[in-house]
Amino acid sequence: MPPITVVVADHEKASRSTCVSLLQPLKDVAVVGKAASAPEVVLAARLKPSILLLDLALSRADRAPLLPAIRRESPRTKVILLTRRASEQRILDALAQGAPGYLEKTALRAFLPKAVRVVAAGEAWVPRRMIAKIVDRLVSLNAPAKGVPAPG
Amino acid sequence: MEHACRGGAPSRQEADRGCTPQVLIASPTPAVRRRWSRALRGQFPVHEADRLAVVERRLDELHPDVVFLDLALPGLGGVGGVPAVQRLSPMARIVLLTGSPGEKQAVLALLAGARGYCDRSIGPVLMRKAVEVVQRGEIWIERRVVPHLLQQVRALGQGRRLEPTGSDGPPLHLLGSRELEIARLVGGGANNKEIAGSLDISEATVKAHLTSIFRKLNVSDRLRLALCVAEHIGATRPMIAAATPISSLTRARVQ
Repeated sequence: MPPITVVVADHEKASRSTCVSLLQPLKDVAVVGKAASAPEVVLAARLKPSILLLDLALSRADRAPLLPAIRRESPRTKVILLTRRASEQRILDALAQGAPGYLEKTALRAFLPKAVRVVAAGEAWVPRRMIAKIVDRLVSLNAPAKGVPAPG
Repeated sequence: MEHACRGGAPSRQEADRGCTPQVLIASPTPAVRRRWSRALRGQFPVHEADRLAVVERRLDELHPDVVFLDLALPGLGGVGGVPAVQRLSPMARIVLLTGSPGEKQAVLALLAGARGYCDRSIGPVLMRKAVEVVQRGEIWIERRVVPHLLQQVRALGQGRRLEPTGSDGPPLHLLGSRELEIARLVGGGANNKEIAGSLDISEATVKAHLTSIFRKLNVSDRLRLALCVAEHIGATRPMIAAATPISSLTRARVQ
């Protein structure tokens, strides 16, 4: 089976290094690129990696939203957001733009390899309690036409 | 912390703070009610309902915290019937039970206000877990549904709205309640004779209803009707326990 290809995108060098060091020993994963700024992310997306690890702050850094740009370059690339004490609202917004998962940076050591493999396999990497928030957002997005009140 | 758990509808926060949840299991199938009751009653007060009218009574009397609602309940009309049930007891957390769980259906179920959607034949450990999970305010679905959920959020954010019954699904709302019952029995593999016996009507009446059902749902034969039922409504086993050969589904035409 071809390895899961990964691009690591983060402003912070320490963060990038941590991700690379956690993924490099894995036989089924190959880090194929790194990016430190929004334009670099778009370029790296052209490598069409299976997974793009993307720092949430970086995804919001430029005027233009980054996730749609990544999708244009490589529609099949799955983005895992890396967050640091981000608000639920910000995470929800990013998930709503198409990222199938996110991971707190403090949890990288514990979960990065697993998250990469799970998302590459087509699943989502989202904590259970966040799923309820996603559903609540879904219901309220859908509700107005039907006049159904959002759940309490 | 002292707070009221019974009598009057407790707020969801009160329920979240750890009162033992009242559970209602609503299914037309006695074996399903039995299995769920047995699994849960050691830990939770469990009540049963075998049809919608009883569900409505129980919701009003008990205001149960968690309601397991079998999609096969006659008259429910599948996932689209959830909002009406929810209105009777707005604080109740509804978990839908189905024989053939599908990811798209799971999303529709959640859109309709359900807090969970799962196979009705899960084991007792998972049944108890389901109560705990939804009582905490979380969602009870299979992991594989989550990517579909996220896709829906994205689609809706882009302005593509979903109807709770699925805008590109069959127009089930066009079926009368008798027609829904018949459709479900077809989905359960019953032939016309079994349907007639189950509902205590003549075979000729069954055929007439089927003609109307086929026309309304724009399906050409009972196999396609059965597939449609399986996907969108939930099938019912015929009450007459005759062995049903698969060939009864492929006898194509209503004549």
